[in-house]
Amino acid sequence: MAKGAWWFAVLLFPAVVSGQPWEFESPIAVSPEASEGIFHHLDASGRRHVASHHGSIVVVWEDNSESSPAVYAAIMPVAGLDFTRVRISGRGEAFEPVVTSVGEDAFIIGWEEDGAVWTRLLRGTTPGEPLMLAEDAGQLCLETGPSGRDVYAVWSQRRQHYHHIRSGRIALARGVPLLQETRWVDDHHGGADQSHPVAVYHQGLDALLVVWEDRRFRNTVLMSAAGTPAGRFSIPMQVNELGPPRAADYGRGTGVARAAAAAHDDHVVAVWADKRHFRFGYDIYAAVARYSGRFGDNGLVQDGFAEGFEQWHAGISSGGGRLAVAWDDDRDGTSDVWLSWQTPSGWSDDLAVPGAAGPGNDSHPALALDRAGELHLVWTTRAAPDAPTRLWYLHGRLRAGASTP
Amino acid sequence: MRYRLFGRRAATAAVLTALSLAPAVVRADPPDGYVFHSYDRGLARAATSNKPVFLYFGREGCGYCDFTNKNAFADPAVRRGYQEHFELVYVDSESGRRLRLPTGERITERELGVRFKAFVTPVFVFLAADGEPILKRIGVQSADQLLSYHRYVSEGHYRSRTFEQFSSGDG
Repeated sequence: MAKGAWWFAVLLFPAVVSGQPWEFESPIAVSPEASEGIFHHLDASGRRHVASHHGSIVVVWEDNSESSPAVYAAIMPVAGLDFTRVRISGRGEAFEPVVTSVGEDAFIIGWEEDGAVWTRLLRGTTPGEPLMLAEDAGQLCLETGPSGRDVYAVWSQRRQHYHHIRSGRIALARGVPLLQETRWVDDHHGGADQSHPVAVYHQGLDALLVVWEDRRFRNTVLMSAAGTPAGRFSIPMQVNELGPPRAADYGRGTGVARAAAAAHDDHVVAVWADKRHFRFGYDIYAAVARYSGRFGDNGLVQDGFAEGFEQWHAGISSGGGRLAVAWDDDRDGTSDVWLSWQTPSGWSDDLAVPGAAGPGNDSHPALALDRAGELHLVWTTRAAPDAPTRLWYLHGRLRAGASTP
Repeated sequence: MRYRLFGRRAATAAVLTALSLAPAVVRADPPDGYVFHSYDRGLARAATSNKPVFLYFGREGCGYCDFTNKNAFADPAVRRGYQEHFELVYVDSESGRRLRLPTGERITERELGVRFKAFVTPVFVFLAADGEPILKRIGVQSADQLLSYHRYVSEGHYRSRTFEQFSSGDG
Protein backbone atom coordinates (compact mmCIF):
# COMPACT_ATOMS: atom_id res chain seq x y z
CA MET A 1 0.00 0.00 0.00
CA ALA A 2 1.36 3.41 -0.98
CA LYS A 3 2.87 5.70 1.63
CA GLY A 4 0.12 7.53 3.44
CA ALA A 5 -2.57 5.25 2.15
CA TRP A 6 -2.92 3.64 5.55
CA TRP A 7 -4.34 6.85 6.95
CA PHE A 8 -6.78 6.89 4.07
CA ALA A 9 -7.74 3.31 4.83
CA VAL A 10 -8.22 4.13 8.49
CA LEU A 11 -10.46 7.06 7.60
CA LEU A 12 -12.59 4.77 5.49
CA PHE A 13 -12.70 2.11 8.18
CA PRO A 14 -16.07 2.25 9.96
CA ALA A 15 -16.07 2.69 13.71
CA VAL A 16 -17.02 -0.94 14.18
CA VAL A 17 -16.63 -3.67 11.58
CA SER A 18 -18.44 -6.93 11.90
CA GLY A 19 -16.40 -9.94 10.89
CA GLN A 20 -18.91 -12.63 11.78
CA PRO A 21 -19.15 -13.36 14.64
CA TRP A 22 -16.61 -10.78 15.78
CA GLU A 23 -16.93 -7.04 16.02
CA PHE A 24 -13.77 -4.99 15.58
CA GLU A 25 -13.01 -1.39 16.42
CA SER A 26 -10.97 0.76 14.04
CA PRO A 27 -7.27 -0.13 13.96
CA ILE A 28 -5.02 2.16 15.99
CA ALA A 29 -1.49 2.93 14.85
CA VAL A 30 1.07 1.95 17.47
CA SER A 31 4.00 3.39 15.53
CA PRO A 32 4.31 6.52 13.38
CA GLU A 33 3.73 6.33 9.64
CA ALA A 34 6.15 3.99 7.86
CA SER A 35 9.36 5.74 6.91
CA GLU A 36 12.33 4.69 4.84
CA GLY A 37 14.69 2.28 6.53
CA ILE A 38 12.58 1.75 9.66
CA PHE A 39 11.51 -1.82 10.41
CA HIS A 40 9.30 -3.08 13.24
CA HIS A 41 9.44 -6.67 14.36
CA LEU A 42 7.13 -8.92 16.34
CA ASP A 43 9.12 -12.12 16.42
CA ALA A 44 9.72 -13.23 20.01
CA SER A 45 9.52 -16.81 21.15
CA GLY A 46 5.86 -17.52 21.94
CA ARG A 47 4.74 -14.27 20.25
CA ARG A 48 3.67 -12.60 23.52
CA HIS A 49 3.88 -9.04 22.26
CA VAL A 50 0.63 -7.74 23.72
CA ALA A 51 -0.97 -8.00 27.15
CA SER A 52 -4.11 -6.55 28.69
CA HIS A 53 -4.57 -6.25 32.42
CA HIS A 54 -6.78 -4.12 34.65
CA GLY A 55 -7.87 -1.87 31.81
CA SER A 56 -4.44 -1.26 30.29
CA ILE A 57 -2.90 -2.57 27.09
CA VAL A 58 0.84 -2.92 26.61
CA VAL A 59 2.44 -3.69 23.25
CA VAL A 60 6.14 -4.50 22.94
CA TRP A 61 8.24 -4.71 19.80
CA GLU A 62 11.69 -4.04 18.34
CA ASP A 63 12.52 -1.42 15.75
CA ASN A 64 15.52 0.55 14.48
CA SER A 65 13.97 4.02 14.60
CA GLU A 66 16.89 5.20 16.76
CA SER A 67 19.41 3.72 14.31
CA SER A 68 20.10 0.36 15.98
CA PRO A 69 17.57 -2.30 16.99
CA ALA A 70 15.93 -1.41 20.31
CA VAL A 71 12.92 -2.57 22.30
CA TYR A 72 9.93 -0.34 22.96
CA ALA A 73 6.63 -0.54 24.77
CA ALA A 74 3.40 1.30 24.00
CA ILE A 75 0.80 1.73 26.70
CA MET A 76 -2.86 2.69 26.37
CA PRO A 77 -6.09 2.32 28.37
CA VAL A 78 -8.40 -0.26 26.79
CA ALA A 79 -10.80 2.47 25.67
CA GLY A 80 -8.00 4.78 24.55
CA LEU A 81 -7.18 6.13 21.14
CA ASP A 82 -3.45 6.80 21.38
CA PHE A 83 -0.50 4.86 22.72
CA THR A 84 2.26 6.33 24.85
CA ARG A 85 5.61 5.01 23.67
CA VAL A 86 8.50 4.19 26.04
CA ARG A 87 11.97 2.86 25.27
CA ILE A 88 12.64 -0.28 27.30
CA SER A 89 16.05 -1.57 26.23
CA GLY A 90 19.43 -0.02 26.98
CA ARG A 91 22.13 1.13 24.58
CA GLY A 92 22.90 -2.27 23.08
CA GLU A 93 21.24 -4.01 20.16
CA ALA A 94 18.01 -5.43 21.54
CA PHE A 95 15.57 -7.94 20.11
CA GLU A 96 12.54 -10.17 20.67
CA PRO A 97 10.61 -8.52 23.50
CA VAL A 98 7.75 -10.16 25.38
CA VAL A 99 5.30 -8.87 27.98
CA THR A 100 3.08 -10.27 30.69
CA SER A 101 1.14 -8.83 33.60
CA VAL A 102 2.21 -8.99 37.23
CA GLY A 103 0.55 -7.77 40.41
CA GLU A 104 -2.40 -5.41 40.39
CA ASP A 105 -1.18 -2.75 38.04
CA ALA A 106 2.11 -3.68 36.43
CA PHE A 107 3.66 -5.56 33.55
CA ILE A 108 7.01 -7.26 33.16
CA ILE A 109 8.79 -6.89 29.84
CA GLY A 110 11.59 -9.21 28.78
CA TRP A 111 14.02 -8.97 25.87
CA GLU A 112 17.45 -9.91 24.57
CA GLU A 113 20.22 -7.32 24.54
CA ASP A 114 23.91 -7.77 23.75
CA GLY A 115 23.58 -11.53 24.04
CA ALA A 116 21.88 -11.53 27.46
CA VAL A 117 18.24 -11.74 28.51
CA TRP A 118 16.75 -8.95 30.60
CA THR A 119 13.49 -7.99 32.26
CA ARG A 120 12.08 -4.73 33.48
CA LEU A 121 8.95 -3.84 35.40
CA LEU A 122 6.57 -1.36 33.78
CA ARG A 123 4.13 0.45 36.03
CA GLY A 124 2.03 3.02 34.18
CA THR A 125 4.44 4.41 31.63
CA THR A 126 7.43 4.26 33.97
CA PRO A 127 9.95 1.43 33.55
CA GLY A 128 11.82 0.19 36.58
CA GLU A 129 15.45 -0.85 36.78
CA PRO A 130 16.50 -3.54 34.29
CA LEU A 131 17.31 -6.98 35.68
CA MET A 132 19.62 -9.32 33.76
CA LEU A 133 18.43 -12.93 33.90
CA ALA A 134 21.28 -14.66 32.07
CA GLU A 135 24.25 -14.07 29.81
CA ASP A 136 24.93 -15.92 26.58
CA ALA A 137 21.19 -16.32 26.21
CA GLY A 138 18.20 -15.26 24.13
CA GLN A 139 14.65 -16.16 23.07
CA LEU A 140 13.05 -15.22 26.36
CA CYS A 141 9.41 -16.01 27.10
CA LEU A 142 7.46 -14.85 30.19
CA GLU A 143 4.37 -16.31 31.86
CA THR A 144 2.42 -14.88 34.79
CA GLY A 145 2.35 -17.32 37.72
CA PRO A 146 -0.86 -18.62 39.30
CA SER A 147 -0.82 -16.06 42.09
CA GLY A 148 -0.49 -13.23 39.60
CA ARG A 149 2.30 -11.80 41.74
CA ASP A 150 5.24 -13.59 40.18
CA VAL A 151 6.37 -14.47 36.67
CA TYR A 152 7.98 -17.55 35.16
CA ALA A 153 10.73 -17.01 32.61
CA VAL A 154 12.25 -19.45 30.14
CA TRP A 155 15.06 -18.79 27.70
CA SER A 156 17.69 -20.51 25.58
CA GLN A 157 21.19 -20.33 27.08
CA ARG A 158 24.58 -21.65 26.09
CA ARG A 159 25.54 -24.74 28.07
CA GLN A 160 28.99 -25.87 26.94
CA HIS A 161 28.69 -26.60 23.21
CA TYR A 162 24.93 -26.22 22.81
CA HIS A 163 22.08 -23.99 23.80
CA HIS A 164 19.61 -25.44 26.26
CA ILE A 165 16.42 -24.23 27.86
CA ARG A 166 16.64 -22.66 31.30
CA SER A 167 13.80 -21.54 33.53
CA GLY A 168 13.50 -19.17 36.43
CA ARG A 169 10.94 -17.44 38.57
CA ILE A 170 10.79 -13.68 38.94
CA ALA A 171 9.31 -12.51 42.21
CA LEU A 172 8.52 -8.96 43.18
CA ALA A 173 10.31 -7.90 46.36
CA ARG A 174 8.84 -4.56 47.43
CA GLY A 175 7.93 -3.93 43.82
CA VAL A 176 11.39 -4.82 42.47
CA PRO A 177 11.82 -7.93 40.28
CA LEU A 178 14.13 -10.57 41.74
CA LEU A 179 15.25 -13.70 39.91
CA GLN A 180 14.88 -16.98 41.83
CA GLU A 181 15.00 -20.72 41.28
CA THR A 182 16.78 -20.96 37.95
CA ARG A 183 17.37 -24.42 36.53
CA TRP A 184 17.84 -26.33 33.30
CA VAL A 185 14.58 -27.70 31.98
CA ASP A 186 16.15 -30.84 30.46
CA ASP A 187 18.90 -32.48 32.47
CA HIS A 188 18.67 -35.69 30.52
CA HIS A 189 20.04 -34.75 27.11
CA GLY A 190 23.04 -32.65 26.26
CA GLY A 191 23.97 -33.33 22.67
CA ALA A 192 21.89 -30.90 20.63
CA ASP A 193 20.56 -27.38 20.54
CA GLN A 194 17.29 -26.40 22.16
CA SER A 195 15.65 -23.12 21.25
CA HIS A 196 12.53 -20.95 21.17
CA PRO A 197 10.94 -21.99 24.46
CA VAL A 198 7.40 -21.16 25.55
CA ALA A 199 6.21 -21.36 29.16
CA VAL A 200 2.63 -21.90 30.30
CA TYR A 201 1.29 -22.47 33.78
CA HIS A 202 -0.77 -25.68 33.71
CA GLN A 203 -3.52 -25.25 36.27
CA GLY A 204 -4.56 -28.90 36.22
CA LEU A 205 -1.02 -30.01 37.08
CA ASP A 206 -0.07 -26.98 39.18
CA ALA A 207 3.09 -26.98 37.12
CA LEU A 208 4.99 -24.96 34.60
CA LEU A 209 4.78 -26.56 31.17
CA VAL A 210 7.62 -25.68 28.79
CA VAL A 211 7.57 -26.35 25.05
CA TRP A 212 10.67 -25.84 22.90
CA GLU A 213 12.35 -26.66 19.61
CA ASP A 214 14.88 -29.47 19.91
CA ARG A 215 17.36 -30.98 17.47
CA ARG A 216 18.31 -34.12 19.37
CA PHE A 217 17.06 -36.32 16.54
CA ARG A 218 18.92 -34.24 13.92
CA ASN A 219 15.71 -32.64 12.73
CA THR A 220 13.67 -30.07 14.59
CA VAL A 221 10.99 -31.48 16.87
CA LEU A 222 8.93 -29.90 19.62
CA MET A 223 9.53 -31.24 23.11
CA SER A 224 7.76 -30.45 26.34
CA ALA A 225 8.38 -30.99 30.03
CA ALA A 226 6.49 -30.06 33.18
CA GLY A 227 8.05 -28.82 36.39
CA THR A 228 6.61 -27.99 39.76
CA PRO A 229 7.73 -24.63 41.12
CA ALA A 230 10.39 -26.05 43.43
CA GLY A 231 11.05 -29.40 41.81
CA ARG A 232 12.62 -30.92 38.75
CA PHE A 233 11.16 -31.08 35.30
CA SER A 234 9.70 -34.28 33.92
CA ILE A 235 11.45 -36.26 31.21
CA PRO A 236 10.81 -34.41 27.92
CA MET A 237 8.16 -35.79 25.60
CA GLN A 238 7.74 -35.04 21.91
CA VAL A 239 4.81 -32.77 21.06
CA ASN A 240 4.59 -33.01 17.27
CA GLU A 241 3.67 -36.26 15.61
CA LEU A 242 5.79 -37.61 12.79
CA GLY A 243 4.76 -36.79 9.26
CA PRO A 244 4.04 -39.22 6.44
CA PRO A 245 6.79 -41.79 5.87
CA ARG A 246 9.56 -40.79 3.47
CA ALA A 247 12.21 -42.56 1.50
CA ALA A 248 14.16 -44.41 4.15
CA ASP A 249 17.60 -43.41 2.94
CA TYR A 250 17.19 -39.66 3.05
CA GLY A 251 16.43 -37.08 5.68
CA ARG A 252 15.54 -37.54 9.29
CA GLY A 253 12.06 -36.09 9.59
CA THR A 254 9.65 -33.29 8.84
CA GLY A 255 10.10 -29.73 10.01
CA VAL A 256 8.37 -27.80 12.75
CA ALA A 257 8.99 -24.28 13.98
CA ARG A 258 8.00 -21.63 16.47
CA ALA A 259 5.54 -22.93 19.01
CA ALA A 260 3.15 -20.73 20.94
CA ALA A 261 0.99 -21.94 23.81
CA ALA A 262 -1.74 -20.84 26.16
CA ALA A 263 -3.43 -22.15 29.28
CA HIS A 264 -7.11 -22.77 28.61
CA ASP A 265 -9.34 -23.92 31.47
CA ASP A 266 -7.32 -26.61 33.21
CA HIS A 267 -5.22 -27.65 30.24
CA VAL A 268 -2.66 -26.18 27.84
CA VAL A 269 -2.96 -25.76 24.08
CA ALA A 270 0.12 -25.40 21.88
CA VAL A 271 0.21 -24.32 18.24
CA TRP A 272 3.09 -24.31 15.80
CA ALA A 273 4.09 -24.29 12.14
CA ASP A 274 4.37 -27.86 10.86
CA LYS A 275 5.61 -29.07 7.50
CA ARG A 276 4.46 -32.68 7.68
CA HIS A 277 2.54 -32.18 4.42
CA PHE A 278 5.59 -30.76 2.80
CA ARG A 279 4.27 -29.87 -0.67
CA PHE A 280 2.30 -26.91 0.62
CA GLY A 281 4.71 -25.67 3.23
CA TYR A 282 3.98 -25.02 6.86
CA ASP A 283 0.48 -25.52 8.27
CA ILE A 284 -0.72 -24.49 11.72
CA TYR A 285 -1.18 -27.49 14.01
CA ALA A 286 -2.37 -27.65 17.61
CA ALA A 287 -2.23 -30.15 20.46
CA VAL A 288 -3.67 -30.22 23.96
CA ALA A 289 -1.90 -31.25 27.17
CA ARG A 290 -4.44 -32.39 29.77
CA TYR A 291 -3.83 -33.85 33.21
CA SER A 292 -0.92 -36.05 32.20
CA GLY A 293 0.97 -32.98 31.05
CA ARG A 294 1.68 -34.79 27.80
CA PHE A 295 0.45 -33.33 24.54
CA GLY A 296 -1.97 -35.55 22.66
CA ASP A 297 -3.14 -35.89 19.06
CA ASN A 298 -2.13 -33.11 16.72
CA GLY A 299 -4.91 -31.34 14.80
CA LEU A 300 -4.98 -28.85 11.97
CA VAL A 301 -6.15 -25.38 13.04
CA GLN A 302 -6.65 -23.70 9.68
CA ASP A 303 -9.60 -24.56 7.43
CA GLY A 304 -9.63 -26.24 4.02
CA PHE A 305 -9.44 -22.96 2.11
CA ALA A 306 -5.89 -22.55 3.39
CA GLU A 307 -4.77 -25.75 1.70
CA GLY A 308 -2.10 -25.05 -0.86
CA PHE A 309 -0.81 -22.00 1.00
CA GLU A 310 1.87 -21.80 3.62
CA GLN A 311 1.07 -20.38 7.04
CA TRP A 312 3.45 -18.41 9.24
CA HIS A 313 3.72 -16.77 12.65
CA ALA A 314 1.10 -18.54 14.73
CA GLY A 315 0.13 -17.04 18.07
CA ILE A 316 -2.47 -18.20 20.57
CA SER A 317 -4.28 -16.75 23.56
CA SER A 318 -6.97 -17.74 26.02
CA GLY A 319 -9.18 -15.53 28.14
CA GLY A 320 -12.75 -15.28 29.35
CA GLY A 321 -13.32 -18.92 28.46
CA ARG A 322 -12.30 -18.34 24.85
CA LEU A 323 -9.36 -19.56 22.86
CA ALA A 324 -8.12 -18.03 19.61
CA VAL A 325 -5.23 -18.51 17.20
CA ALA A 326 -3.89 -15.93 14.73
CA TRP A 327 -1.38 -16.33 11.90
CA ASP A 328 -0.64 -14.92 8.47
CA ASP A 329 -0.91 -16.42 4.99
CA ASP A 330 -1.34 -15.10 1.46
CA ARG A 331 -4.22 -17.20 0.14
CA ASP A 332 -5.92 -13.99 -1.06
CA GLY A 333 -2.91 -12.70 -2.97
CA THR A 334 -1.04 -10.76 -0.28
CA SER A 335 -0.25 -11.65 3.28
CA ASP A 336 -3.24 -11.20 5.62
CA VAL A 337 -3.84 -11.87 9.30
CA TRP A 338 -6.19 -14.78 9.89
CA LEU A 339 -8.06 -15.76 13.03
CA SER A 340 -9.57 -19.04 14.17
CA TRP A 341 -11.19 -19.68 17.51
CA GLN A 342 -12.41 -22.68 19.40
CA THR A 343 -16.07 -23.59 19.02
CA PRO A 344 -18.07 -26.53 20.40
CA SER A 345 -17.36 -28.39 17.16
CA GLY A 346 -13.66 -27.56 16.94
CA TRP A 347 -11.72 -24.73 15.34
CA SER A 348 -13.86 -22.16 13.54
CA ASP A 349 -13.59 -21.34 9.85
CA ASP A 350 -10.72 -18.93 9.24
CA LEU A 351 -11.53 -15.23 9.40
CA ALA A 352 -9.47 -12.62 7.55
CA VAL A 353 -9.34 -9.99 10.26
CA PRO A 354 -10.95 -6.74 9.03
CA GLY A 355 -8.32 -4.03 9.17
CA ALA A 356 -5.52 -6.59 9.18
CA ALA A 357 -6.26 -7.97 5.73
CA GLY A 358 -6.47 -6.62 2.20
CA PRO A 359 -3.95 -4.76 0.02
CA GLY A 360 -0.38 -4.63 1.27
CA ASN A 361 1.22 -7.16 3.56
CA ASP A 362 -0.36 -7.68 6.99
CA SER A 363 1.68 -10.15 8.96
CA HIS A 364 3.32 -11.24 12.21
CA PRO A 365 0.21 -11.15 14.40
CA ALA A 366 0.32 -11.42 18.17
CA LEU A 367 -2.82 -11.61 20.25
CA ALA A 368 -4.14 -11.52 23.80
CA LEU A 369 -7.62 -12.38 25.00
CA ASP A 370 -8.44 -10.56 28.21
CA ARG A 371 -10.52 -11.78 31.13
CA ALA A 372 -13.70 -10.76 29.31
CA GLY A 373 -12.63 -12.74 26.26
CA GLU A 374 -12.04 -9.58 24.23
CA LEU A 375 -9.34 -9.65 21.59
CA HIS A 376 -6.26 -7.44 21.51
CA LEU A 377 -4.35 -7.95 18.28
CA VAL A 378 -1.13 -6.36 17.03
CA TRP A 379 0.57 -6.89 13.69
CA THR A 380 2.86 -5.25 11.17
CA THR A 381 2.06 -3.85 7.75
CA ARG A 382 4.34 -3.12 4.82
CA ALA A 383 3.69 -2.26 1.18
CA ALA A 384 6.18 -4.86 -0.10
CA PRO A 385 8.42 -7.49 1.48
CA ASP A 386 11.40 -5.12 1.82
CA ALA A 387 9.41 -1.93 2.42
CA PRO A 388 9.37 -0.08 5.74
CA THR A 389 6.88 -1.28 8.30
CA ARG A 390 4.20 0.04 10.58
CA LEU A 391 2.74 -1.44 13.73
CA TRP A 392 -1.02 -1.62 14.36
CA TYR A 393 -3.39 -2.57 17.16
CA LEU A 394 -6.98 -3.80 16.89
CA HIS A 395 -9.60 -4.42 19.58
CA GLY A 396 -12.32 -6.99 18.92
CA ARG A 397 -15.05 -8.84 20.73
CA LEU A 398 -17.26 -11.81 19.98
CA ARG A 399 -20.84 -10.76 19.36
CA ALA A 400 -23.45 -11.77 21.92
CA GLY A 401 -24.69 -15.27 21.24
CA ALA A 402 -21.70 -16.17 19.10
CA SER A 403 -20.43 -19.70 19.36
CA THR A 404 -17.99 -20.18 22.22
CA PRO A 405 -16.42 -23.27 23.76
CA MET B 1 20.51 -15.27 18.43
CA ARG B 2 23.77 -13.45 18.85
CA TYR B 3 26.10 -14.93 21.36
CA ARG B 4 28.45 -13.13 23.66
CA LEU B 5 31.96 -14.36 23.19
CA PHE B 6 34.15 -11.73 24.83
CA GLY B 7 31.91 -10.04 27.37
CA ARG B 8 29.74 -7.00 27.16
CA ARG B 9 32.50 -4.44 26.85
CA ALA B 10 34.15 -5.98 23.84
CA ALA B 11 34.31 -3.76 20.79
CA THR B 12 31.48 -4.27 18.33
CA ALA B 13 33.89 -4.93 15.49
CA ALA B 14 35.67 -7.60 17.46
CA VAL B 15 32.40 -9.29 18.30
CA LEU B 16 31.22 -9.23 14.71
CA THR B 17 34.52 -10.64 13.53
CA ALA B 18 34.38 -13.33 16.18
CA LEU B 19 30.81 -14.18 15.29
CA SER B 20 31.75 -14.70 11.69
CA LEU B 21 34.47 -17.12 12.82
CA ALA B 22 32.46 -18.85 15.53
CA PRO B 23 31.48 -22.46 15.09
CA ALA B 24 28.04 -22.78 13.59
CA VAL B 25 25.21 -23.28 16.03
CA VAL B 26 21.69 -24.41 15.26
CA ARG B 27 22.68 -24.99 11.67
CA ALA B 28 21.49 -27.57 9.23
CA ASP B 29 23.17 -29.56 6.53
CA PRO B 30 24.81 -27.95 3.50
CA PRO B 31 26.38 -30.39 1.03
CA ASP B 32 29.78 -31.85 1.82
CA GLY B 33 32.86 -30.46 0.13
CA TYR B 34 31.57 -26.91 -0.32
CA VAL B 35 32.43 -23.73 1.50
CA PHE B 36 29.13 -22.03 2.34
CA HIS B 37 28.94 -18.68 4.07
CA SER B 38 26.34 -16.88 6.13
CA TYR B 39 23.97 -14.58 4.24
CA ASP B 40 25.71 -11.39 5.40
CA ARG B 41 29.15 -12.68 4.62
CA GLY B 42 28.11 -14.11 1.26
CA LEU B 43 26.58 -10.82 0.11
CA ALA B 44 29.59 -8.90 1.37
CA ARG B 45 31.89 -11.23 -0.56
CA ALA B 46 29.75 -10.84 -3.68
CA ALA B 47 30.00 -7.07 -3.47
CA THR B 48 33.77 -7.45 -3.65
CA SER B 49 34.13 -10.40 -6.01
CA ASN B 50 31.20 -9.38 -8.24
CA LYS B 51 30.19 -13.04 -8.40
CA PRO B 52 26.53 -14.07 -8.30
CA VAL B 53 25.24 -15.53 -5.05
CA PHE B 54 23.89 -19.06 -4.80
CA LEU B 55 21.47 -19.17 -1.88
CA TYR B 56 20.55 -22.60 -0.49
CA PHE B 57 17.57 -22.77 1.91
CA GLY B 58 17.67 -26.06 3.80
CA ARG B 59 16.83 -27.34 7.22
CA GLU B 60 18.22 -29.99 9.49
CA GLY B 61 16.77 -33.40 8.67
CA CYS B 62 15.45 -32.34 5.25
CA GLY B 63 15.14 -35.49 3.14
CA TYR B 64 15.05 -33.76 -0.23
CA CYS B 65 18.06 -31.64 0.70
CA ASP B 66 19.88 -34.81 1.66
CA PHE B 67 18.89 -36.47 -1.62
CA THR B 68 20.03 -33.47 -3.67
CA ASN B 69 23.27 -33.19 -1.72
CA LYS B 70 24.16 -36.84 -2.30
CA ASN B 71 23.01 -37.10 -5.88
CA ALA B 72 23.61 -33.71 -7.44
CA PHE B 73 25.95 -31.59 -5.35
CA ALA B 74 28.32 -34.56 -5.09
CA ASP B 75 28.95 -34.26 -8.84
CA PRO B 76 32.53 -32.98 -9.36
CA ALA B 77 31.51 -30.63 -12.20
CA VAL B 78 28.79 -29.10 -10.05
CA ARG B 79 31.18 -28.70 -7.14
CA ARG B 80 33.85 -27.11 -9.32
CA GLY B 81 31.48 -24.75 -11.11
CA TYR B 82 29.58 -23.60 -8.04
CA GLN B 83 32.67 -23.17 -5.90
CA GLU B 84 34.46 -21.22 -8.61
CA HIS B 85 31.76 -18.95 -9.95
CA PHE B 86 29.34 -18.30 -7.09
CA GLU B 87 29.44 -16.98 -3.58
CA LEU B 88 27.75 -19.81 -1.72
CA VAL B 89 25.27 -19.01 1.06
CA TYR B 90 23.49 -21.57 3.19
CA VAL B 91 20.41 -20.57 5.19
CA ASP B 92 18.85 -22.85 7.79
CA SER B 93 15.22 -21.97 7.25
CA GLU B 94 14.29 -22.88 10.83
CA SER B 95 17.14 -21.04 12.53
CA GLY B 96 16.90 -18.00 14.79
CA ARG B 97 20.37 -16.84 13.75
CA ARG B 98 20.29 -13.14 12.83
CA LEU B 99 21.42 -11.53 9.62
CA ARG B 100 21.34 -8.09 8.04
CA LEU B 101 19.52 -7.45 4.76
CA PRO B 102 20.86 -4.99 2.16
CA THR B 103 18.13 -2.58 3.37
CA GLY B 104 19.74 -2.65 6.82
CA GLU B 105 16.87 -4.63 8.34
CA ARG B 106 17.87 -7.26 10.89
CA ILE B 107 15.94 -10.51 10.66
CA THR B 108 16.49 -14.19 11.39
CA GLU B 109 17.37 -16.88 8.90
CA ARG B 110 13.85 -18.23 9.32
CA GLU B 111 12.40 -14.84 8.42
CA LEU B 112 14.64 -14.70 5.36
CA GLY B 113 12.99 -17.97 4.37
CA VAL B 114 9.60 -16.32 4.77
CA ARG B 115 10.70 -13.43 2.51
CA PHE B 116 11.92 -15.83 -0.17
CA LYS B 117 8.86 -18.03 0.33
CA ALA B 118 10.98 -21.02 1.22
CA PHE B 119 7.90 -22.96 2.22
CA VAL B 120 9.54 -26.26 1.39
CA THR B 121 13.18 -27.28 1.42
CA PRO B 122 15.39 -27.23 -0.43
CA VAL B 123 14.88 -23.90 -2.18
CA PHE B 124 17.67 -22.53 -4.36
CA VAL B 125 17.89 -18.87 -5.28
CA PHE B 126 20.46 -17.28 -7.54
CA LEU B 127 21.12 -13.62 -6.83
CA ALA B 128 23.12 -11.07 -8.79
CA ALA B 129 26.11 -9.64 -6.95
CA ASP B 130 23.94 -6.70 -5.88
CA GLY B 131 21.40 -9.06 -4.28
CA GLU B 132 18.75 -8.90 -7.02
CA PRO B 133 17.04 -12.29 -7.56
CA ILE B 134 17.79 -14.01 -10.87
CA LEU B 135 16.33 -17.50 -10.63
CA LYS B 136 14.55 -19.59 -8.01
CA ARG B 137 14.20 -23.36 -8.02
CA ILE B 138 12.26 -25.47 -5.52
CA GLY B 139 12.82 -29.07 -4.48
CA VAL B 140 15.09 -31.88 -5.64
CA GLN B 141 17.45 -30.98 -8.48
CA SER B 142 19.67 -33.18 -10.63
CA ALA B 143 23.32 -32.49 -11.40
CA ASP B 144 22.36 -31.68 -14.99
CA GLN B 145 19.82 -29.13 -13.78
CA LEU B 146 22.34 -27.53 -11.44
CA LEU B 147 24.85 -27.31 -14.26
CA SER B 148 22.25 -25.75 -16.52
CA TYR B 149 21.46 -23.08 -13.89
CA HIS B 150 25.18 -22.55 -13.48
CA ARG B 151 25.60 -21.76 -17.17
CA TYR B 152 22.51 -19.55 -17.26
CA VAL B 153 23.67 -17.42 -14.35
CA SER B 154 27.47 -17.44 -14.52
CA GLU B 155 27.56 -16.76 -18.27
CA GLY B 156 25.10 -13.89 -17.90
CA HIS B 157 22.30 -15.30 -20.07
CA TYR B 158 19.78 -14.12 -17.50
CA ARG B 159 20.38 -10.55 -18.63
CA SER B 160 18.76 -11.20 -22.01
CA ARG B 161 16.33 -14.10 -21.61
CA THR B 162 14.33 -16.16 -19.21
CA PHE B 163 15.64 -19.49 -18.06
CA GLU B 164 12.91 -21.20 -20.05
CA GLN B 165 14.06 -19.44 -23.22
CA PHE B 166 17.65 -20.29 -22.42
CA SER B 167 16.99 -23.96 -21.74
CA SER B 168 14.87 -24.38 -24.89
CA GLY B 169 17.53 -22.71 -27.02
CA ASP B 170 15.34 -19.71 -27.92
CA GLY B 171 16.39 -16.09 -27.91
